[in-house]
Amino acid sequence: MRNVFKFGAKQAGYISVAAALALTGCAPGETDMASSLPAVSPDVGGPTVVRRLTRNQYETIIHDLFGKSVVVGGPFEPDVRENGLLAVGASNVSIASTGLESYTNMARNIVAQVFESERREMLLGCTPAAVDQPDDACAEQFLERVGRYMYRRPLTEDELQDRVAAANEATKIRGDFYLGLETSLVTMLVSPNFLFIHESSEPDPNNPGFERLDAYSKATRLSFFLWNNAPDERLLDAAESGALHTRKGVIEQVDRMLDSPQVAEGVRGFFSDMLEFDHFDTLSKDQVLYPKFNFTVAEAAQEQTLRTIVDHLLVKEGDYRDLYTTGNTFLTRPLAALYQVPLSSLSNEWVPYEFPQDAQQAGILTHASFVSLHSHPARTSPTLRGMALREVLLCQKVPDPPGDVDFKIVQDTENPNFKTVRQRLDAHASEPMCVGCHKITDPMGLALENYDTIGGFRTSENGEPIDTSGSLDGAAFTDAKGLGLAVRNNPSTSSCIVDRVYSYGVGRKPTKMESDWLKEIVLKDFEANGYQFRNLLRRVAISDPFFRVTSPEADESAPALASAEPNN
Amino acid sequence: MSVVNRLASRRRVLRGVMNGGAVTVALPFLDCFLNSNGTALAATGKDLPVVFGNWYWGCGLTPGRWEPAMVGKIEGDLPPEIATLEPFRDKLNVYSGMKVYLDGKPPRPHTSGRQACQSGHVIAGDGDGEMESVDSIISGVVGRRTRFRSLEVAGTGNPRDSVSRRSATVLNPSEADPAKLYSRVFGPEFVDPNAANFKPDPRTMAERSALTAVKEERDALMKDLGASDRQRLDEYFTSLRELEGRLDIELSKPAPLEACSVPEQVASFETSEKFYSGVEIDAVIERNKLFSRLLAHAVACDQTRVFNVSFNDSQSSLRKAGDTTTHHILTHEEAIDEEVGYQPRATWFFSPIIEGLATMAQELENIREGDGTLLDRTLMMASSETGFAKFHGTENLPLLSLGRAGGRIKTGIHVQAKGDAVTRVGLTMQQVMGVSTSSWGTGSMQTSKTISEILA
Amino acid sequence: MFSVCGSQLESNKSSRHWRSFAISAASVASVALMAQTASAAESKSFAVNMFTVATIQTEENCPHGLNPLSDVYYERELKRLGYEPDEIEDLMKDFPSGGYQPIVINRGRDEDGNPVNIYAHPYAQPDPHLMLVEGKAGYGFNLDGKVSDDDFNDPVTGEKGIDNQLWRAIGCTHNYHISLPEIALYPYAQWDGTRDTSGAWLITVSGVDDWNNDSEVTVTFDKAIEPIIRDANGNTVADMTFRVDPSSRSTSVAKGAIKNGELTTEPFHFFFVSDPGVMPEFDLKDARVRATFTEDGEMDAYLGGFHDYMKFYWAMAQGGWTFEHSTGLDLPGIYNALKKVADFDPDPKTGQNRAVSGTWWFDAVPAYIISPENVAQNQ
Repeated sequence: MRNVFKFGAKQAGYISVAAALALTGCAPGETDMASSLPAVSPDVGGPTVVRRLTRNQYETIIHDLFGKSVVVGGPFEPDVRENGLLAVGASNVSIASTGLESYTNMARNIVAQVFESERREMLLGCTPAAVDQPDDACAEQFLERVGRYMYRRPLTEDELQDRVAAANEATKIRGDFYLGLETSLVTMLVSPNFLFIHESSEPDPNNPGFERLDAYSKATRLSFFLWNNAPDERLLDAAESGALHTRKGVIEQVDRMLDSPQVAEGVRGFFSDMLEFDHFDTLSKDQVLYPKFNFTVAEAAQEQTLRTIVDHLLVKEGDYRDLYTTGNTFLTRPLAALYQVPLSSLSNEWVPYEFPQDAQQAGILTHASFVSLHSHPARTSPTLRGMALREVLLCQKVPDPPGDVDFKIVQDTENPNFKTVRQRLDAHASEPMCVGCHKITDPMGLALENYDTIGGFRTSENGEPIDTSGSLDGAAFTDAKGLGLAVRNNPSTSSCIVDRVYSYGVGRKPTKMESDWLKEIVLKDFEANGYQFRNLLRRVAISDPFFRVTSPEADESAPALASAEPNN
Repeated sequence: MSVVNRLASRRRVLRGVMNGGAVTVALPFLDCFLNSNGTALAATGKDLPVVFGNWYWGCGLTPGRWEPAMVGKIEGDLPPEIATLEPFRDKLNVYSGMKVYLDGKPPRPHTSGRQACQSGHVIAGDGDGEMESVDSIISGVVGRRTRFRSLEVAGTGNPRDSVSRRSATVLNPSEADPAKLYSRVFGPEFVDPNAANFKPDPRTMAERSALTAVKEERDALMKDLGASDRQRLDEYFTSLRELEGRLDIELSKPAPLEACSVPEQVASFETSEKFYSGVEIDAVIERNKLFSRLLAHAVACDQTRVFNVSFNDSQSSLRKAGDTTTHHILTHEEAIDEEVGYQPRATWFFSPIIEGLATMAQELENIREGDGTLLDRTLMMASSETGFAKFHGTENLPLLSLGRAGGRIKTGIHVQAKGDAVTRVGLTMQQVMGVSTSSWGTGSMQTSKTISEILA
Repeated sequence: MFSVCGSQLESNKSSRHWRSFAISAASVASVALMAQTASAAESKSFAVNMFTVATIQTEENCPHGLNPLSDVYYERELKRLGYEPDEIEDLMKDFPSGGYQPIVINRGRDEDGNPVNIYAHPYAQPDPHLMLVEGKAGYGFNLDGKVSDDDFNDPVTGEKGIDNQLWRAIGCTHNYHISLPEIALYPYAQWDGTRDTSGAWLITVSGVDDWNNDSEVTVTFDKAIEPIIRDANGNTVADMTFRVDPSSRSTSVAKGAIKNGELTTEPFHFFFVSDPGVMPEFDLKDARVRATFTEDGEMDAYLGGFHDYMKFYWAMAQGGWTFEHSTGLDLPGIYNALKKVADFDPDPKTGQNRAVSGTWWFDAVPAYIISPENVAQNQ
């Protein structure tokens, strides 16, 4: 339960280790790295959030619950991106009428598949006394078990009995136990307890006057963070037993989760979000001019990047920054044809591939998934690519174009004298009104001009050789490789990923106190430990701020909205 | 508490035997529709309801080429960029000269104009949420009794291309695929008003009853939340109420509707082999055709009384296959041809756009109702987000209406309201549709000046 | 056997079509740059996209019009066999279904007048006398070195003395009466219907010092293990990697030269195992190739030579009635036409020429190939 509480005087900086030990309640004798973490002021934390499940999360959870062969269907209400992440936008959306209608249809289809004859005995765990009669005991047993996963906490007695009663009544109406249970399950699948990820806070006994996430909320936050999935049995048990309220208990779970192959799913989930892969759904390329790019290739392009990331960060435990320089990747035959490199593999098998030393590549910056996503359907866009580089990878906001640009100054792009896009964008680089913003985007995008709108390599445009030189915040480069190096070495690259990882975990923008802490402590840790990603995940997951709840300013006094049902 | 007690203590929603027997739906808001046996809708002597359509496109029109020469009754040839609306000139109104007032807020290209026309409010910056759109305000009044409060479609097949918004946090997503719209509206849950037999679906009955369990969860959920989270959960519960309303309608026998007929099944526009064709103009035209037909039938069968069409996205990413450029890029980069006085390649796109509007009108016109057509009892507001797209102009935004609104408005009129806020149109639309309001819009766009010239 | 392994060219600075590599399948993970010797000999590989008979439609070619379609010639045959008009009408009323089928299928007559399958015995009926090409427009090569009356003029090169009797035999049928770049219906259906499952046809041009002029290059044809993959427009995806099928018998090598960007070869034996739906085996003697290259690095080529005409006939006739009625190609008519115009390889006993000159056209997109040794190693 939340209290309305007030802050004490805000403490600047971070407190001494001695005080820290007292506050963190470390058991004597703990010698793991965790106990030597500098303690953090208890007001480093942020409000709880209520997030709508993303499409990805919904699908993963259904597959986990009911089996991978269940077809989930759709359509899903579009997820919204804020501060660079769908995971953050999720805390600012609700569910529209059309969306709920869709969830209801999906739920009906899902439960019908679940209770199909072959599957149902296994999933149900019991057989009803009579097929055409209610069987509350059997229903209860199933709903309680499933409910715990779906609501990510045990159902309350009322919630459970309501669902058993619903199954009972529905069985009578529909004349069949399984159909009755289906209906009850549908109501859980459309419940806000399932569709929204809730967080609850409670007073923190280790920090009197401050709040922490309750145990189930901790479990939920951890599992969506590390596995992009709802908490599993062991995590729920750890919540139930109170283990998650101990440093040792948290570390045990975190290490278990990081060691599991499921962490690859978590990493994929994170990077799919950060790299805006959801935009592939509505990406279109001109089929006349670029016939190589089709749905399969678009999917493969995303998969290539995600495989590269998982391999580099988790398998090789590489330096995060090297994602922008590494020539190691994975390809299929059609993807190799896109990049115009030779590759033998059986039909669509994935094969490791290393670009030659002098190839003009810059890690994921020159992957098709990056260059094609940020291009027009039939031509490249240095501005869009440069902007993506700034906003997605460096966490730097590029201002909106002014509303009153006088486009008379944009040269006619049909002019045959302007053969390359660099020439056509000359106005961006020379007109005072444009330069301010375009100089922070265009030079980077222009370095990627060897890659056409679908990721194919070219050395000239309309017969004119492509000039790929430029600079990024003072670091000069002459080609894409150089750009990759400049991105790697840019301090914003590492501070950005730290910020994004934390935001992803807590589902909102970090508060000012959290940002300071991330910059002073977590980022320095990251740098000191070779920019290892798994380490970063761990560092965040076991930190105090990750579970700390602080009050959002100002809205406690706002009147509750009129939320009574209107007269119908 | 035992199950039996909980059954007894909950409000019972449904009584009755399942297998096709009489069903009494004891919900207050449907009482007035039921006769004493609860088997049929009463009183069909009422006028058929007026329908509102919100038709939207991006990138405006060319100034000087859509405004009729004279003010008042539209005489002579229609101007070139709306010439394809000729078959409907008697049901057409043109509103010219109106603008967006920014009140010092930063103009957002392809956004501010849309916000002004759709919601009367241009956002100031981050943290200032968008406001409810005009169709949502209207459907809040006229959409309560239909199966769908409103239906939204996007010619681009992108669910994000929608202008229909309940609130800052709820954008009604557009239907992307005509086949999916078909199965939503005319699929298994469709209750044909003209069918001889009506049999309530047990599944629907069971669901309607069981959903109260979700409502019961509400209090516990709301207790812990801050104001903004509470508001979002509220919006969920509004959606839940609409879901329940929909189920209730599916459980009740509707009055027969002469003009209602189930349209032909539509094959899925996007198959897994076909790549997202998105904004290629041919694909958009085709999608719009299919959507228009489905919407007209949906309205004729009273499945909804409000619909939203976004022909293209606000920026207009429309393009021709094989062309390296898009409509949007052309609006900015193409020079104005001295001889003709407009941008030929950019302007080319306005033809299929306005033809798309004509298609919608034609589909409504094709459905005869008594002495008139469905278009006669429809009011479509057609709007965009800019005046002259080349400069992201906020002056003289193109605004049209199509349809006679059941006789509530006069048509065939050109209204010129130079310098007035675009909100005058949205305000008038709401008033014609029965929204009880005397003013609309924020800041300098707040207006109470109804366009009385068109009121019947 | 041959191999196009060896040096591989970097791709960074030259134009994008310099990309044929023969790489070791074992080392696909990295493409090693090998030290260049003094000669900068290069090679490019291609995968065939479309393959068809080279056809051209002109008024002069068929001054008396085109040979009739199947409904007409079946009616004619029924009449010849003695059926009355009303019987014919009845038999043909549900054309192409109907009672006429078994009759026309067995319209051949043996010495005793018994019906025989006409496709197996195309000589077992009177020659239908197909109209042959009379004009001079025909693609190909001067295979016999002479310019004679029954030779054609090549529409592209203008060269006279073109030997293309296959064209003479089939050029005035509806099916083939079309001009490149459009593709004749039957060859299109054959090729398009089989290329998704049949190993791709690979061509490598190697030993090239200068792609504009080089008096000594090698052209090698191979069959791949993998079929082509299609792009969004249904054409072959460029830049795919293919493994040469080491077990195939389809390797043909020709010596060639490039002059002003046009590649031609000396006569060679072109043998290619194809898909039975197309032609079980291509067996062109005295074959030549003439090819040009487009800006996109694609190959546009003609392949000519002499082919056993009966093999050509059988490739069609194996489809029997199904083929004959749907393509409008009167099979005994084709047989007789080919027999009449055949221009090479006389039978020592009878003097009847057994082979007919013919020309095909194909286009090919850039591809990477893996040489057979390297494939074999890894199998």
